[in-house]
Amino acid sequence: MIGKRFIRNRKRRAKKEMFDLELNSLLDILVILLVFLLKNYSISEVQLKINQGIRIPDSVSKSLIEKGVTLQLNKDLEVYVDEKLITSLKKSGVWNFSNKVKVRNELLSLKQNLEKIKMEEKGLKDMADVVNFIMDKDIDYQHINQLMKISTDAGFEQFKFIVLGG
Amino acid sequence: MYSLPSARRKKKKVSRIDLIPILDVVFVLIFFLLFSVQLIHVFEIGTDLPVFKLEQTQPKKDKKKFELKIFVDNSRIRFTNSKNQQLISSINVDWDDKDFLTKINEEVVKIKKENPEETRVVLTPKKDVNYQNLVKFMDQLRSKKTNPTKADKLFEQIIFEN
Repeated sequence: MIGKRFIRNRKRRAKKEMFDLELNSLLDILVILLVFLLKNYSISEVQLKINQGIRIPDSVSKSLIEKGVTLQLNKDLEVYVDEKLITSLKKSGVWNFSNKVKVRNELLSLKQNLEKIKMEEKGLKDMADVVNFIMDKDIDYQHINQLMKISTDAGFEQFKFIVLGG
Repeated sequence: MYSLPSARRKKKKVSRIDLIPILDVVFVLIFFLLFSVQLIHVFEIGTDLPVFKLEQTQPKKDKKKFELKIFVDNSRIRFTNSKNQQLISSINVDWDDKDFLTKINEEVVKIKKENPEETRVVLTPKKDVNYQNLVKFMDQLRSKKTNPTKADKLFEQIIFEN
Protein backbone atom coordinates (compact mmCIF):
# COMPACT_ATOMS: atom_id res chain seq x y z
CA MET A 1 0.00 0.00 0.00
CA ILE A 2 2.76 2.39 1.02
CA GLY A 3 4.84 1.52 -2.04
CA LYS A 4 1.94 2.20 -4.43
CA ARG A 5 1.46 5.59 -2.90
CA PHE A 6 5.10 6.36 -3.33
CA ILE A 7 5.07 5.61 -7.04
CA ARG A 8 1.95 7.68 -7.56
CA ASN A 9 3.53 10.63 -5.76
CA ARG A 10 6.60 10.42 -7.93
CA LYS A 11 4.49 10.82 -11.05
CA ARG A 12 2.82 13.83 -9.55
CA ARG A 13 6.18 15.35 -8.76
CA ALA A 14 7.24 14.92 -12.35
CA LYS A 15 4.14 16.74 -13.53
CA LYS A 16 4.73 19.62 -11.12
CA GLU A 17 8.31 20.24 -12.34
CA MET A 18 8.69 23.95 -13.13
CA PHE A 19 9.04 25.21 -16.68
CA ASP A 20 12.55 26.68 -16.91
CA LEU A 21 12.91 29.64 -19.29
CA GLU A 22 16.21 29.91 -21.15
CA LEU A 23 17.43 33.42 -20.26
CA ASN A 24 20.98 33.29 -21.56
CA SER A 25 20.16 34.37 -25.11
CA LEU A 26 17.93 37.18 -23.84
CA LEU A 27 20.70 38.37 -21.58
CA ASP A 28 23.13 38.34 -24.50
CA ILE A 29 20.86 40.67 -26.50
CA LEU A 30 20.37 42.98 -23.54
CA VAL A 31 24.10 43.21 -22.89
CA ILE A 32 24.72 44.13 -26.55
CA LEU A 33 22.00 46.79 -26.30
CA LEU A 34 23.51 48.06 -23.07
CA VAL A 35 26.97 48.40 -24.62
CA PHE A 36 25.52 50.26 -27.62
CA LEU A 37 23.60 52.67 -25.38
CA LEU A 38 26.57 53.25 -23.10
CA LYS A 39 28.71 54.07 -26.14
CA ASN A 40 26.20 56.70 -27.24
CA TYR A 41 25.71 58.13 -23.77
CA SER A 42 26.64 61.77 -23.52
CA ILE A 43 27.99 63.32 -20.33
CA SER A 44 26.54 66.72 -21.26
CA GLU A 45 23.52 67.55 -19.16
CA VAL A 46 22.29 70.15 -21.64
CA GLN A 47 19.47 69.10 -23.93
CA LEU A 48 19.04 71.32 -26.96
CA LYS A 49 15.89 71.33 -29.03
CA ILE A 50 16.86 72.06 -32.60
CA ASN A 51 14.00 73.38 -34.74
CA GLN A 52 12.93 71.35 -37.73
CA GLY A 53 14.58 72.39 -40.95
CA ILE A 54 17.82 73.51 -39.36
CA ARG A 55 20.82 71.52 -40.53
CA ILE A 56 23.69 72.42 -38.25
CA PRO A 57 27.25 72.36 -39.66
CA ASP A 58 29.61 69.42 -39.26
CA SER A 59 32.73 69.84 -37.20
CA VAL A 60 35.51 67.94 -35.46
CA SER A 61 34.94 69.82 -32.20
CA LYS A 62 34.50 67.74 -29.04
CA SER A 63 33.66 70.57 -26.62
CA LEU A 64 30.55 69.87 -24.59
CA ILE A 65 27.61 72.25 -24.73
CA GLU A 66 27.00 74.72 -21.93
CA LYS A 67 23.68 75.94 -20.65
CA GLY A 68 22.56 79.24 -22.08
CA VAL A 69 20.05 81.11 -24.17
CA THR A 70 19.50 79.53 -27.59
CA LEU A 71 19.29 81.64 -30.70
CA GLN A 72 18.16 79.76 -33.80
CA LEU A 73 18.22 80.85 -37.41
CA ASN A 74 16.89 78.56 -40.11
CA LYS A 75 17.37 78.58 -43.88
CA ASP A 76 14.22 80.71 -44.30
CA LEU A 77 15.89 83.31 -42.07
CA GLU A 78 13.42 82.96 -39.23
CA VAL A 79 14.90 83.93 -35.87
CA TYR A 80 13.94 81.98 -32.75
CA VAL A 81 14.98 82.85 -29.23
CA ASP A 82 14.58 79.88 -26.89
CA GLU A 83 12.24 78.19 -29.41
CA LYS A 84 10.00 81.26 -29.68
CA LEU A 85 9.67 82.79 -33.15
CA ILE A 86 10.72 86.42 -32.90
CA THR A 87 11.05 87.66 -36.45
CA SER A 88 11.53 86.59 -40.04
CA LEU A 89 13.82 88.08 -42.66
CA LYS A 90 12.28 85.98 -45.41
CA LYS A 91 10.74 88.90 -47.31
CA SER A 92 13.51 91.46 -47.07
CA GLY A 93 16.49 89.12 -46.65
CA VAL A 94 18.30 91.86 -44.75
CA TRP A 95 18.38 93.08 -41.18
CA ASN A 96 16.37 96.25 -40.69
CA PHE A 97 15.97 98.29 -37.54
CA SER A 98 12.67 96.66 -36.55
CA ASN A 99 14.08 93.11 -36.79
CA LYS A 100 17.12 94.02 -34.75
CA VAL A 101 15.05 95.67 -32.02
CA LYS A 102 12.68 92.70 -31.74
CA VAL A 103 15.53 90.23 -31.23
CA ARG A 104 17.43 92.58 -28.95
CA ASN A 105 14.42 93.19 -26.69
CA GLU A 106 13.72 89.49 -26.36
CA LEU A 107 17.35 88.77 -25.50
CA LEU A 108 17.42 91.68 -23.10
CA SER A 109 14.38 90.46 -21.17
CA LEU A 110 15.87 86.95 -20.99
CA LYS A 111 19.16 88.37 -19.80
CA GLN A 112 17.42 90.36 -17.07
CA ASN A 113 15.53 87.27 -15.91
CA LEU A 114 18.73 85.22 -15.87
CA GLU A 115 20.54 87.95 -13.93
CA LYS A 116 17.78 87.88 -11.30
CA ILE A 117 18.09 84.11 -10.95
CA LYS A 118 21.88 84.43 -10.96
CA MET A 119 21.67 86.59 -7.84
CA GLU A 120 19.81 83.79 -6.07
CA GLU A 121 21.66 80.77 -7.47
CA LYS A 122 25.41 80.82 -7.92
CA GLY A 123 25.45 77.97 -10.47
CA LEU A 124 23.78 80.10 -13.09
CA LYS A 125 26.70 82.53 -13.30
CA ASP A 126 27.89 81.37 -16.72
CA MET A 127 24.47 80.60 -18.10
CA ALA A 128 23.53 84.27 -17.90
CA ASP A 129 26.37 85.15 -20.30
CA VAL A 130 26.12 82.35 -22.85
CA VAL A 131 24.28 82.35 -26.16
CA ASN A 132 24.13 79.09 -28.08
CA PHE A 133 23.85 79.77 -31.82
CA ILE A 134 21.95 77.06 -33.67
CA MET A 135 22.09 78.08 -37.30
CA ASP A 136 21.58 76.41 -40.64
CA LYS A 137 24.86 75.54 -42.34
CA ASP A 138 23.82 77.25 -45.58
CA ILE A 139 23.41 80.75 -44.18
CA ASP A 140 25.95 83.50 -44.76
CA TYR A 141 28.25 85.09 -42.20
CA GLN A 142 26.41 88.44 -42.39
CA HIS A 143 23.53 86.96 -40.35
CA ILE A 144 25.87 85.47 -37.76
CA ASN A 145 27.60 88.81 -37.51
CA GLN A 146 24.30 90.64 -36.92
CA LEU A 147 23.16 88.14 -34.30
CA MET A 148 26.49 88.43 -32.48
CA LYS A 149 26.23 92.21 -32.45
CA ILE A 150 22.66 92.09 -31.14
CA SER A 151 23.60 89.56 -28.45
CA THR A 152 26.54 91.73 -27.40
CA ASP A 153 24.22 94.73 -27.13
CA ALA A 154 21.91 92.68 -24.92
CA GLY A 155 24.83 92.00 -22.57
CA PHE A 156 25.86 88.45 -23.48
CA GLU A 157 29.58 87.73 -23.50
CA GLN A 158 30.12 84.18 -24.72
CA PHE A 159 28.94 82.82 -28.04
CA LYS A 160 28.83 79.11 -28.79
CA PHE A 161 28.29 77.75 -32.28
CA ILE A 162 26.41 74.47 -32.03
CA VAL A 163 27.84 71.90 -34.43
CA LEU A 164 27.40 68.27 -35.32
CA GLY A 165 30.26 66.12 -34.04
CA GLY A 166 32.07 63.72 -36.32
CA MET B 1 24.08 -0.57 0.92
CA TYR B 2 21.74 1.35 -1.26
CA SER B 3 21.60 5.08 -0.84
CA LEU B 4 18.29 6.79 -0.55
CA PRO B 5 16.71 7.86 -3.87
CA SER B 6 16.40 11.46 -2.72
CA ALA B 7 20.13 11.64 -1.96
CA ARG B 8 20.93 10.37 -5.45
CA ARG B 9 18.87 13.14 -7.03
CA LYS B 10 20.70 15.79 -5.04
CA LYS B 11 24.05 14.66 -6.38
CA LYS B 12 22.90 14.93 -9.99
CA LYS B 13 21.48 18.45 -9.63
CA VAL B 14 23.31 20.93 -11.88
CA SER B 15 24.00 24.23 -10.15
CA ARG B 16 22.78 27.23 -12.19
CA ILE B 17 23.30 30.95 -11.65
CA ASP B 18 20.11 32.82 -10.98
CA LEU B 19 19.98 35.30 -13.86
CA ILE B 20 16.77 37.05 -12.92
CA PRO B 21 18.28 39.73 -10.60
CA ILE B 22 20.96 40.49 -13.23
CA LEU B 23 18.23 40.78 -15.83
CA ASP B 24 16.32 43.20 -13.60
CA VAL B 25 19.36 45.45 -13.23
CA VAL B 26 20.11 45.33 -16.97
CA PHE B 27 16.49 46.28 -17.75
CA VAL B 28 16.59 49.27 -15.39
CA LEU B 29 19.91 50.39 -16.89
CA ILE B 30 18.56 50.07 -20.43
CA PHE B 31 15.49 52.17 -19.64
CA PHE B 32 17.63 54.83 -18.00
CA LEU B 33 20.00 54.95 -20.96
CA LEU B 34 17.21 54.89 -23.53
CA PHE B 35 15.71 58.00 -21.98
CA SER B 36 18.98 59.90 -21.79
CA VAL B 37 20.71 58.75 -24.96
CA GLN B 38 21.65 61.30 -27.60
CA LEU B 39 21.77 59.70 -30.99
CA ILE B 40 22.96 62.95 -32.55
CA HIS B 41 26.26 64.08 -31.09
CA VAL B 42 26.11 67.82 -30.73
CA PHE B 43 29.10 69.90 -29.65
CA GLU B 44 30.10 73.57 -29.63
CA ILE B 45 32.75 75.93 -30.88
CA GLY B 46 33.18 78.79 -28.45
CA THR B 47 34.05 82.38 -29.25
CA ASP B 48 34.53 85.41 -27.08
CA LEU B 49 33.15 88.90 -27.42
CA PRO B 50 33.72 90.51 -30.82
CA VAL B 51 36.76 92.80 -31.05
CA PHE B 52 34.79 96.09 -30.93
CA LYS B 53 33.27 95.12 -27.58
CA LEU B 54 36.51 93.66 -26.19
CA GLU B 55 38.28 96.95 -26.81
CA GLN B 56 35.56 98.77 -24.86
CA THR B 57 35.70 96.40 -21.89
CA GLN B 58 39.42 95.56 -21.77
CA PRO B 59 41.96 98.29 -22.42
CA LYS B 60 44.62 97.35 -24.98
CA LYS B 61 47.88 95.92 -23.68
CA ASP B 62 50.40 96.45 -26.43
CA LYS B 63 53.18 94.35 -24.94
CA LYS B 64 52.72 91.57 -27.47
CA LYS B 65 54.54 91.69 -30.77
CA PHE B 66 52.31 89.24 -32.50
CA GLU B 67 48.57 88.82 -32.98
CA LEU B 68 47.23 86.57 -35.70
CA LYS B 69 44.50 88.15 -37.76
CA ILE B 70 42.92 86.28 -40.65
CA PHE B 71 40.90 87.80 -43.45
CA VAL B 72 38.53 85.24 -44.94
CA ASP B 73 36.66 85.61 -48.21
CA ASN B 74 35.52 83.23 -50.90
CA SER B 75 38.57 83.77 -53.10
CA ARG B 76 41.52 84.20 -50.75
CA ILE B 77 42.56 83.76 -47.13
CA ARG B 78 45.16 86.16 -45.78
CA PHE B 79 47.13 85.51 -42.60
CA THR B 80 48.46 88.71 -41.08
CA ASN B 81 50.16 89.98 -37.96
CA SER B 82 47.87 92.75 -36.79
CA LYS B 83 50.59 94.28 -34.60
CA ASN B 84 52.77 95.33 -37.53
CA GLN B 85 50.17 94.98 -40.31
CA GLN B 86 52.43 92.49 -42.06
CA LEU B 87 51.11 89.82 -44.40
CA ILE B 88 52.35 86.40 -43.30
CA SER B 89 50.89 84.35 -46.12
CA SER B 90 47.94 84.05 -48.42
CA ILE B 91 46.13 80.98 -49.76
CA ASN B 92 43.66 80.68 -52.64
CA VAL B 93 40.26 79.34 -51.58
CA ASP B 94 38.61 76.15 -52.72
CA TRP B 95 36.24 75.08 -49.96
CA ASP B 96 35.44 71.70 -51.54
CA ASP B 97 39.06 70.67 -51.91
CA LYS B 98 40.36 68.58 -49.00
CA ASP B 99 43.93 69.62 -49.79
CA PHE B 100 42.93 73.22 -49.30
CA LEU B 101 41.93 72.58 -45.67
CA THR B 102 45.14 70.60 -45.12
CA LYS B 103 47.11 73.52 -46.53
CA ILE B 104 45.35 75.88 -44.13
CA ASN B 105 46.10 73.58 -41.21
CA GLU B 106 49.76 73.29 -42.16
CA GLU B 107 50.05 77.06 -42.40
CA VAL B 108 48.44 77.51 -38.97
CA VAL B 109 50.75 74.86 -37.46
CA LYS B 110 53.72 76.74 -38.94
CA ILE B 111 52.55 80.05 -37.45
CA LYS B 112 51.91 78.39 -34.08
CA LYS B 113 55.45 76.94 -34.04
CA GLU B 114 56.85 80.44 -34.46
CA ASN B 115 54.52 81.83 -31.76
CA PRO B 116 53.91 79.00 -29.29
CA GLU B 117 52.54 81.25 -26.54
CA GLU B 118 49.83 82.74 -28.70
CA THR B 119 46.35 81.17 -28.39
CA ARG B 120 44.20 83.98 -29.75
CA VAL B 121 43.17 84.55 -33.34
CA VAL B 122 41.10 87.37 -34.77
CA LEU B 123 38.84 86.41 -37.67
CA THR B 124 37.56 88.86 -40.24
CA PRO B 125 35.24 87.00 -42.60
CA LYS B 126 33.47 88.64 -45.53
CA LYS B 127 29.68 88.84 -45.32
CA ASP B 128 29.07 86.20 -48.00
CA VAL B 129 31.20 83.46 -46.44
CA ASN B 130 29.12 80.36 -45.88
CA TYR B 131 28.63 79.23 -42.27
CA GLN B 132 29.61 75.59 -42.91
CA ASN B 133 32.82 76.74 -44.60
CA LEU B 134 33.56 79.04 -41.70
CA VAL B 135 33.15 76.13 -39.26
CA LYS B 136 35.48 73.99 -41.39
CA PHE B 137 37.99 76.82 -41.29
CA MET B 138 37.68 77.28 -37.51
CA ASP B 139 38.31 73.54 -37.07
CA GLN B 140 41.65 73.96 -38.83
CA LEU B 141 42.57 76.85 -36.55
CA ARG B 142 41.76 75.03 -33.33
CA SER B 143 43.75 71.82 -33.57
CA LYS B 144 46.37 70.00 -35.59
CA LYS B 145 44.77 67.85 -38.26
CA THR B 146 47.18 64.92 -38.36
CA ASN B 147 47.46 62.88 -35.15
CA PRO B 148 46.22 65.63 -32.81
CA THR B 149 46.98 65.35 -29.10
CA LYS B 150 46.19 67.72 -26.24
CA ALA B 151 49.51 69.42 -26.78
CA ASP B 152 48.60 70.10 -30.40
CA LYS B 153 46.03 72.75 -29.62
CA LEU B 154 46.58 75.66 -31.95
CA PHE B 155 44.53 78.84 -31.67
CA GLU B 156 41.67 77.96 -29.33
CA GLN B 157 40.49 81.50 -28.63
CA ILE B 158 38.61 82.71 -31.68
CA ILE B 159 37.40 86.30 -31.84
CA PHE B 160 35.40 87.89 -34.63
CA GLU B 161 36.33 91.37 -35.65
CA ASN B 162 33.54 92.79 -37.77
